[in-house]
Amino acid sequence: MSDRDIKLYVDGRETENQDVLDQLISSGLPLPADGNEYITLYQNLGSSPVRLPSNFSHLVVQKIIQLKVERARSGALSQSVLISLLSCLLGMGLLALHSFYTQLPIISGLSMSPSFLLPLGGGLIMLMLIVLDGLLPSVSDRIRQ
Amino acid sequence: MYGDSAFKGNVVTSMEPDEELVRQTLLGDTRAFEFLVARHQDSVAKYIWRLIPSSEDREEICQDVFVKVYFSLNKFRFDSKFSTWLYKISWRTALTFLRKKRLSMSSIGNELIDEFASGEKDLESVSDEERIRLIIEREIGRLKPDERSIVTLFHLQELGIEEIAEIVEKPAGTIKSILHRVRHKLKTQLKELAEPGQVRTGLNEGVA
Repeated sequence: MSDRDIKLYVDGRETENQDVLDQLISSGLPLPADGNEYITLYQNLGSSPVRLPSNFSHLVVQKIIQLKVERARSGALSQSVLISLLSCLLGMGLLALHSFYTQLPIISGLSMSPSFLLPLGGGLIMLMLIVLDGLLPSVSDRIRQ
Repeated sequence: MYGDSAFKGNVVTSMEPDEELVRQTLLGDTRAFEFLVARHQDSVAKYIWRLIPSSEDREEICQDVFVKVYFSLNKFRFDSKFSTWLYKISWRTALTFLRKKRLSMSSIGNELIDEFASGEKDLESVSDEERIRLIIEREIGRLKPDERSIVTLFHLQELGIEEIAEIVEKPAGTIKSILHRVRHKLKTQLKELAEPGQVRTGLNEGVA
């Protein structure tokens, strides 16, 4: 039994140890000769049932692997969203430039130059697929099937 | 790689030091991390069990601790012990959980005390030792989160003052002061044992 265990009961001063034990003895409570039973009580609190499954470490590693996969998937998704948005922006930018220089309304620009539709439409379709995949996984699964 | 190391249930027999297992994990070896978890899971669980009131959350928090450790392992500085760093993450995780759930540590129950509150156990039937244990449990349950953590780390995990100061991020003097105050409280409560009637009253307060 180390001093640190005893200090719990004697306020950090070993000289008080006997006083406390004397009080316990005078209370009429059963006390072993060396008083260790009381001194170890606090430490025994640590033996409160701590129930972790026997395969806990394995479960932790499984969880980590799962999180890694999710993070990788989420990273890939962010990249797709970024590419789609950039594609849309490029299409819209080109369309706006065309409209500015030709003084034609945007709608006519769209009908006259279908090449603007490529980045714009492509980006929009990609975004739509991403939204479908994220919000309606069952629908996107059916589409894939 | 790990010599004669092997898992035997929860017991890990790897002879590799923690720091070496950390290095192996950083190189991508998840098996090394599994060894680390198996080695430290009991001490983390014991610590979390003393801090978190709800038994159904404890296991999840223990898992969260090790997941956080894994994903922040590259921030581990090898100038301190791995166990100290692990306790620091455990403490922060437990504190975040308590804040999120807005749980007051002073209202923390205890499975043993709850048994009395629900009438499952009768005070007449418990031994004197159990009564003392209840008093200590009750007093520990009334402490603030940081006090509870400090007492647990010092008396259950047997860490030094400097190490505890690093974990809870408080000066060593504050740690000593808190330990002194808590011991004084416990001492006062134990003195009540001199009058058995008061012990009963004290317990009922804890239960109510």
